[in-house]
Amino acid sequence: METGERLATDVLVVGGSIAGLAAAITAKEADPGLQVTVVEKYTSGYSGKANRGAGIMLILGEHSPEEFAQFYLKHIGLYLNNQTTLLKYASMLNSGAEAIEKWSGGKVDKDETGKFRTLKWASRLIGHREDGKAIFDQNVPYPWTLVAIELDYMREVRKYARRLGVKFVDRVGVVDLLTTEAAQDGPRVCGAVGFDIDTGKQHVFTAAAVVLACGNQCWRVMPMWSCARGEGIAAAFRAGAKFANCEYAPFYNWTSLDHFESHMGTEYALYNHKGENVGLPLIKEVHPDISAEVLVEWYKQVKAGNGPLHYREHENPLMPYLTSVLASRAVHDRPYADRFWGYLFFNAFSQATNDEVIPGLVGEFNPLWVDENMATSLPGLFAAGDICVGGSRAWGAVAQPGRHRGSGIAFATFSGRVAGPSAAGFAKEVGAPTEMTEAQVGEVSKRFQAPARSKGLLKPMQMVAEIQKVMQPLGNSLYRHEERMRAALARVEELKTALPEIGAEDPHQLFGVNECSAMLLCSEMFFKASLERKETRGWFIREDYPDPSPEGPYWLVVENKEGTVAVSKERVPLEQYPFQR
Amino acid sequence: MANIIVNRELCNGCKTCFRACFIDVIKWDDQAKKPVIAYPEECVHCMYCEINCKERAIKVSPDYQSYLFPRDSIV
Ligand SMILES: Cc1cc2nc3c(=O)[nH]c(=O)nc-3n(C[C@H](O)[C@H](O)[C@H](O)COP(=O)(O)OP(=O)(O)OC[C@H]3O[C@@H](n4cnc5c(N)ncnc54)[C@H](O)[C@@H]3O)c2cc1C
Ligand code: SF4
Ligand code: SF4
Repeated sequence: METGERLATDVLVVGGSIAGLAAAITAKEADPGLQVTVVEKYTSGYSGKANRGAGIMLILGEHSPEEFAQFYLKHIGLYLNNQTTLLKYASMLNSGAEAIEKWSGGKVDKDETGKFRTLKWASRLIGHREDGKAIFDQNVPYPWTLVAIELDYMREVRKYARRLGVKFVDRVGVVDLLTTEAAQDGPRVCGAVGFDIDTGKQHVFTAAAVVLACGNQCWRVMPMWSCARGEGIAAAFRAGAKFANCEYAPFYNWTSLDHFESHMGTEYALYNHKGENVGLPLIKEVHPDISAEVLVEWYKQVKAGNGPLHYREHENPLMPYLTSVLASRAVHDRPYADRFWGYLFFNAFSQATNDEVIPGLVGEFNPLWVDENMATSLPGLFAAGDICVGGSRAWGAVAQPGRHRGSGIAFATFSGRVAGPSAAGFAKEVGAPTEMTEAQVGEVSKRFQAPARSKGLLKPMQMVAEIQKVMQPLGNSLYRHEERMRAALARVEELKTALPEIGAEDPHQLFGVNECSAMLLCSEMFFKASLERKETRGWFIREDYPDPSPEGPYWLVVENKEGTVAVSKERVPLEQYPFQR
Repeated sequence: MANIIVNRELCNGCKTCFRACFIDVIKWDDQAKKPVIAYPEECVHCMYCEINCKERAIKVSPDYQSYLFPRDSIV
C-alpha cells in the first residue's frame, strides 16, 4: 500500500473553521515554540458554518457572568448544566468578541467612536394590542447583547494564524484518530489519519495533542448546515471517547418546502388551516427564542387534521428586526454579509409559492464530552466548537443554539480559546508519542477505502436520502415516543447493514460513505440515549412521558463498549455548584 | 439540480471558487486551470463561489425542487 504523507506536529487541530482557528492561535500564543498544524477537509478561511451564518455574536455587555448564568439556568438550561463551564463561558464572552476583532483585523461592526455596535435580542412579550398583535419590549432585560461580524472575517483569521506560524494542510479530511497504549493510564490519542479529498492520498499525522474542531452532525438536511456530517464524532467514538447530551439534539428551524431557508419568529404568526393562531398562546412572557412547545404544536395540529400550517409573515413582530440584522445596512454596516444574505433571501423567498411552513431538521448533534478545560475523556484529545457544545453540558436542557442567538460563534471562540492552551500545555508536558502505530494506520485505510472495492450499486447520496427519512420527522426526533423511536432505531440498524453495499468511484464518494457511516452512528447514539430519558425536560420532549421525572437532574452518558453504543446515567452534582434550584 | 455555469472566457483561473465551496461541489482541473462542476446535485446554493469570484465568471441558479429533502417524511 502507498504510505502517503507523514507529518509530525506538537498540536494537531482537526477542522479549520472558527473553533479550530481559535484553538490553533491560542495554542501557538501559549507556547510559540510548539508546532501547531491545522488540517481541514476543504479550505480553511472559506470552509465551515462560521462562513455561512448570520455573523451575529453574543457578548455580555454590562451584565455579570453570574446574572447570565442565573437567567440561563432558570429559563433555558433548567439546572441540567455544568455550572463551572457555564460560568467560564459567560466570563469569556466579552473577551471573545475582542479576540475576533483582533484576529480579523477589525471585522466586528463598530460605531463612529470605535465601540462595538450592539443590539438586543428583542423577543420578550409584554402584551397584546386590541387587534391581537404582540407587543415587545425592545429593551429587554436579558443578560446578553449581540455584535455583528462582517462575514469575510474567517479569511483574515486564517491569515493571522499563518503569521503566527500555524501550519495549514487543506483538502485533507480526517477519518480516524490514532491511539497508543504506552501511557500508564490507558490509551492516549497520538495523531490522526486523513485522506486528500481530491487525490485520495493518505496523510498520517502524529501529534502530542489533538484538538477536534470539525463540527457536529446535521444530517445534511438544511442547506447551510450541510458541511456538518459528524465524521469527528464517529472518529472519537471509535477511539473510545465519552459523550453526553446525545438526546438533547436536534434543533429545528421553521422552513418552507419551496426553498428551505429559515423563518425566524414563526411561532408568533403560526396558523392552522382553520385560521387559528396556534403559536402565540404557547409563548410565555419570558421567551428566550424558538420554542420547542410550538414545534410540538405543529405536530399535534397536523395529526389532528388541521394542517397544513401557515406562516403569516406580515404578523411576525420580529420581521423588521430580522431584516435589519441580516440583510440591510439599517443597523450594521457589513456589505459582504448583506450580499450573502441578500442572495440567500432573494433566491429563496422569490421562489415561495405559498405560506405553508414545516419544521426543518437543523440537527446540531454535538455530544463529545469535555470538561471545563475542553479535555475529552481521552488523554491527549481536546475539543472545541460545535462538536462538543452538548457534551460540555454548559447550556443544559436545550438544543444548540441554546435559545440564545449568537451562541455558536461565541461558544466556538470560547472553547477554542480554552482548548488551545490546554492542548499546548499537555503537548509540552507529555511530549511526542514514541510508539509506532503502523498497524492502526493500515486498519484505518482498509476501512476507509473498502467502498472503492465494493461491487455495491448503492450511491452515497441514496443512503443520505434514506437516513434523512428517519431523522427529519418531528415525531421521531423532537416529539418522541418509545414506539416511534424503536422503529426508527430498527431502520437505522437496517441501514447500517446496507453500508457495505455503497460503492465509491472517487475520493469524494469515499468520504460520502464515511459520512454516511458517521450519520448512522450518530442516529444510533441519538435514539439509544433518547430511549433512556424517560421524562420531558426542557427541549427534550416525550409524548409518552410528558412530565419531568421526580428524580434529580441527571445527564446521560454514551460510551463505546466493545463497539456498541452503551448508555448510562450520571447525576448532576448540583450541591457542588454555586446556584441551586 | 442547481445550475452552475462558468464563463471560461472571463475565468482567470484564480481558484477562488474551488476554495470557496464548503462541500466539494467544485473540483479543479489542473491542466485547463479551470473549475470543474463535479457534483452539482450536492450544491446547497450558498452562493459563496459566485460572491467571491472577482471576475464574475461563475453563476449559480438554485433549484429547490430537486433539493434533497425527505418531503414525505416530515411528521
Ligand atoms: C445558516 C447558519 C446561521 C448561523 N448563524 C449564526 C449566528 O448568527 N451566530 C452564531 O453565533 N452562530 C451562528 N451559526 C452557528 C455557527 O456558524 C457555528 O456554531 C460555528 O461556525 C461553529 O464553529 P466550528 O468551528 O465549531 O464548526 P464549523 O464552522 O462547522 O467548522 C467545522 C470545520 O471542520 C471541517 N471538517 C469537517 N469534517 C472534517 C474532517 N473530517 N477533517 C477535517 N476537517 C473537517 C469543516 O470543513 C469546517 O471547516 C449559524 C450557522 C448556520 C449554518
Ligand atoms: S473564482 Fe472566478 S475567476 Fe477564479 S477560478 Fe473561479 S470562476 Fe475562474
Ligand atoms: S453555491 Fe455554495 S455549495 Fe454550491 S457550488 Fe457554490 S460554493 Fe459550493
